[in-house]
Amino acid sequence: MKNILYQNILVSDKFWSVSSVLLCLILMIPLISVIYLSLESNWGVWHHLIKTSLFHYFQATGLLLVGVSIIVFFIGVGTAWLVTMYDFPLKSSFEWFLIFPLAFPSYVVAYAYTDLLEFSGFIQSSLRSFFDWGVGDYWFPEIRSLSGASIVMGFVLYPYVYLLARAAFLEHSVSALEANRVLGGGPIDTFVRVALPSARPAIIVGMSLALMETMNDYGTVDFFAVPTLTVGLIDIWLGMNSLSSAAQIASIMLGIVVIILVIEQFSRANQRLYQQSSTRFSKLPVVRLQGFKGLCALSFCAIPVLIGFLIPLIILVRLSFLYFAKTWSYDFIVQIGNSILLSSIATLFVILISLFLSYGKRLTQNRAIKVIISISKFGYGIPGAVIAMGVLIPFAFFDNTLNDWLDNYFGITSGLVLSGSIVAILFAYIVRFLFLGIGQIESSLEKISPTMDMAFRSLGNRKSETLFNLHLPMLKGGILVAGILVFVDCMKELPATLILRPFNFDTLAINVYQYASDEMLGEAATGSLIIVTIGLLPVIILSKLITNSRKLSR
Amino acid sequence: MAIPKTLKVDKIHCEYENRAAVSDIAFEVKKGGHAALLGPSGCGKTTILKAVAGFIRLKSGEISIDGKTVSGRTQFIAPELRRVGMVFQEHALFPHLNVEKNIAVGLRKTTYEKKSRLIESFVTRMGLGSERHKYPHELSGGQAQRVALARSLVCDPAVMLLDEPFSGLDEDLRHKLNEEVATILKERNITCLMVTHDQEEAFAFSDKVGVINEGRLQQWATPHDIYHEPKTKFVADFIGEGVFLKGALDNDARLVTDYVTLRNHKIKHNAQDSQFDVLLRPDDVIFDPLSHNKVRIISKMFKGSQTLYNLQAEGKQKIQALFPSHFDFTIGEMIGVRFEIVHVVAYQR
Repeated sequence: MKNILYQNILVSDKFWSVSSVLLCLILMIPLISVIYLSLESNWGVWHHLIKTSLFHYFQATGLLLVGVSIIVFFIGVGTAWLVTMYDFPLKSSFEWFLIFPLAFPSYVVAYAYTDLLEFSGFIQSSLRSFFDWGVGDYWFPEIRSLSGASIVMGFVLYPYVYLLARAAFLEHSVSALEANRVLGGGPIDTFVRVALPSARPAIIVGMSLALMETMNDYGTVDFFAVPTLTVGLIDIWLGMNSLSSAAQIASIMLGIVVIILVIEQFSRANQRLYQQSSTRFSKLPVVRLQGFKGLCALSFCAIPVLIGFLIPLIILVRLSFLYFAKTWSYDFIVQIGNSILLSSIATLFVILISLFLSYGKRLTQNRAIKVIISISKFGYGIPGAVIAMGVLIPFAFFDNTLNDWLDNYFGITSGLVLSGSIVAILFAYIVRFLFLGIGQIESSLEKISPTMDMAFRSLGNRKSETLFNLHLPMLKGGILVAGILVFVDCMKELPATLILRPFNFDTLAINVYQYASDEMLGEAATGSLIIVTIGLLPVIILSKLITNSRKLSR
Repeated sequence: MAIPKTLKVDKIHCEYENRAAVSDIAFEVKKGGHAALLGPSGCGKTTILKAVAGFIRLKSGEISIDGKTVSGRTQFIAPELRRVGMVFQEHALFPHLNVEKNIAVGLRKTTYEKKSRLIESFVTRMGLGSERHKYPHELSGGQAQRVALARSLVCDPAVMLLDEPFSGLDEDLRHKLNEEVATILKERNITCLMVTHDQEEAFAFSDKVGVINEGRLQQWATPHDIYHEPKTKFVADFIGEGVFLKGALDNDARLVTDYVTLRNHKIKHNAQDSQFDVLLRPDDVIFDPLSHNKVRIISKMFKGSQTLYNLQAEGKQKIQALFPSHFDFTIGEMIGVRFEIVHVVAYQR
């Protein structure tokens, strides 16, 4: 029935399907080239790696993933449960305060805490002057360590778990909770035996997202000198100049990400299953916590917001204030412009490609095409450094081939057409953030049911009118949200930008990274602050969604 | 001159995903007539509706509206030019438009004054006065259904198509709206085709009912005939309640069953030795204390004004009967019954 409805939207179905598949294949180039490169055997380098740093890469990555998982699980699930099931002072504010840390890229938080906690930082200096300690007289935890990185990332990434767990707690059937109470289980028993298991898929999805972000991170681990696989990839590629070994490390990272992705997808399917029964919203019985208990709940929710948002924000504002004159220069404004330009163009492309592919998927009956389109959006799981590598290599190959060819036949040198231009960065952004665009637009498109199309057509509208007068207004919101999400993530993106940027082309994120690597945290503050301010946009969107969901549950 | 037939469906055949969805469907609905297509889910009734609306193309056959072919061998008129109104079970209101704007969607080429006059009259007629600026998600099921109906009616369609229009609503509202919609459509003399799986709804709404099973039209008749003179065993089984009594023909061409012996002029004499299924509706069985036919009460189901009993005489088939609920028999009790079968319906096995 569908194909009759949407036939020939603008061009023929077949053209649409074929070009969707082609587009998807182009988007998979980075993935394919990394895997292709990793097939070359390279025992010399590996022998050396095994003897020296390989174990450390694995150890650091593994420990980091475990550390982040533990933190995001306890904070995310704990706060979500408190906020949905209990009433305590300031609860409704915390419902959305709790997602604020999402505005921070983790490397910015890392810089902020380093400024606060390092030897010359505010805390240690105050302690020294208060107790009259000298250097080496006391022990103080080292923030620039593996545990420091876990804490920083955990406190920035827990909102993923919080958001999904909260939605699951809100949506799952109240009657199941009540049934357990009637069967004699107390509140804690109900949480452990009913609420937690039924929210499990959602929690796993949230944790998977947090872990994929962890795998993607370069700024924090680089700054804290934690030798994760990402750091190893860049060391081997740029330091040891061994492309194939770097590609092999990249493939290992891909392997880890694929495992996380598979778990995530599997849980998403389960999530749908688990939450199907709850078609009816009924009011959740909210328990009022007063006195000491209320205070405990309040502090449990306040700590992550303080650590993940408020304290770093205060540090940044103070630093930015102190160093503003030094930072604010012509170069800085150019960098802001570059960031906005890059992010806007990437956003535009992501939206257009998402629209094209979403309709491609809706139009076709062919399962293979649907699967290919679904696969193409999984770029969000691929760490930025790996995507950068997968973009740079084929682009450089193209540039060299073109250059040789032109040189041989015409005696012209073309130089670096693709690999040295912003095309490479844009392509990497599109591959990595396409998911955000497709996700939003597909879900808005799903709301336009075939019956709605039929109703519109039977009211005297042609196909093109249906597209412009029904679909466009209904997709507008989804497109806007997708645009904001993609734009903000492009602004924050560090590893791919770092590797792929053309010579002398700096963005805001690069500016922040470079100042921070040079231990000039004060100069990095203003840039960080701008990134965080822009990062608040999606947070506002999310908090609006939260307010809506609260209305629903009432 | 013959009465003009507004909607004519002539031996249509449609496929869905290369599988025959409906075949050989033919019926006519006269101007202002109300018809319903009734059948179990997946029987193809919605496919027929979509074919009439122009969302599905025909493999063969023809559909015409007001004497003009809209789907045929060579002709295909786009859905937007057919002047059909369509109301869906899920309402399909446009979520980004408020009630007034939803109603106005089909009135694009109308002048502003006429548009506002039309909207005004429909908003009032449908009792949507205080909802006119609300958005679809703020409406109750019944209100949404009224908006969907108004939206189609305002365009003055030649044929109105209703796809399970009341099935998402609760019982009370369903009856109320059913009646209301029928009245409004009759008022405007609009031809109407409804699809439903609810027989009560179909009977209450329409003057002609088509029963469909597995893509084929089983019977096209008035509600009365569908109930009392079902043409196929499927129709007899699907519509209403009742049991089939095993029967055989005697020498006198009478049907002999466990309980009664009947005469059916439709049965040919040459069917001498064959077995028959004879339909016995619960309302064919009448409580009669003086009758010699004694049956035992096996179980009963209270239905308000009436009670449905399962009865069985010693060593005979089980039957069903509907008695006024004032008689309150106990299970196990023996009662006398007599049979008043006005419409003898029998199927050769």
